[in-house]
Amino acid sequence: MAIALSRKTALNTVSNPQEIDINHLLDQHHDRLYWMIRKIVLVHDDAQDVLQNTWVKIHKGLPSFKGNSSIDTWMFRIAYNECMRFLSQKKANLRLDEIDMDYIQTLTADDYFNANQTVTHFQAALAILPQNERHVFSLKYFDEMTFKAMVVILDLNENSIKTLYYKAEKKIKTYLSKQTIV
Amino acid sequence: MKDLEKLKEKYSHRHASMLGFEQPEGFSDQSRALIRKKLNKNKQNTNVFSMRSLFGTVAIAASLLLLFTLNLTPDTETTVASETMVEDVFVTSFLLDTLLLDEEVLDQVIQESLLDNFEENLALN
Repeated sequence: MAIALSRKTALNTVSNPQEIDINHLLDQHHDRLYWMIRKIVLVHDDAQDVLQNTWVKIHKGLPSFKGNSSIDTWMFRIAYNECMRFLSQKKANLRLDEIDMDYIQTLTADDYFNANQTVTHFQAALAILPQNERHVFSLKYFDEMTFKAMVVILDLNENSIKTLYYKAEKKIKTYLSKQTIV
Repeated sequence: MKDLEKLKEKYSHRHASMLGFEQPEGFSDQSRALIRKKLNKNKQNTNVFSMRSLFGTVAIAASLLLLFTLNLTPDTETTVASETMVEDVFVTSFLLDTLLLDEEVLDQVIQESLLDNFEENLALN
């Protein structure tokens, strides 16, 4: 908790963006960004590629970071944009019959996915959600993002984000209660 | 939502335990090292690019300066033009001197001037 707080104060109250050290950011945020990206692109190898591109963009963009939002939010926004770019490129490169390969199929095709029963149920619950609801739910539930931060990351208004989240939450609860998990 | 929060608390490593996401062993450190390497390479490329841009800018500036200097150097055509300018000044001053004269007096002055010029040419030949 103490570590989390010191990190938060050190990075969220940056007065001079030029003073931010990229190595320090990498140490602190590497894993968080990886997991955020992984939840969107699903496959480990893809997440690794997107993560590297994200860090290159962060490095290039750091001198122009004005500090209007917290640095965490700014980095998450870059990562989210990279994920969206990756997914649209992937979709463009796929043949028409491959586009139908759904969420669960993509997951189970990855070597680094462990499908025990609970996991399968939870992922199946996420799979029934439309993409925007799934992203909002993941950012809130797993990454513990605030709705305000999500406004910056997803470029949507706060009410829309809240609506998407509560819809997603309701669907997941209904699904999991049928599986007697919740 | 409370149920979902309880479910979350039950699992220590949520991404692996709830979502089944796994990573190769030591991925985090390896990835950090790889990204650091990539960022350093990127930084070096940016420095090389900046130096190239600097040299390019200096070369363009030098070329422009050279062109500007060459245009300022007087050549033979410029000299001829300046002589013509002297003649023009002579004619202009002559015209100004005679501008306020009456038409008859002006005719007389012109005829005398032409006669003087003819005699001068004759004497020279």
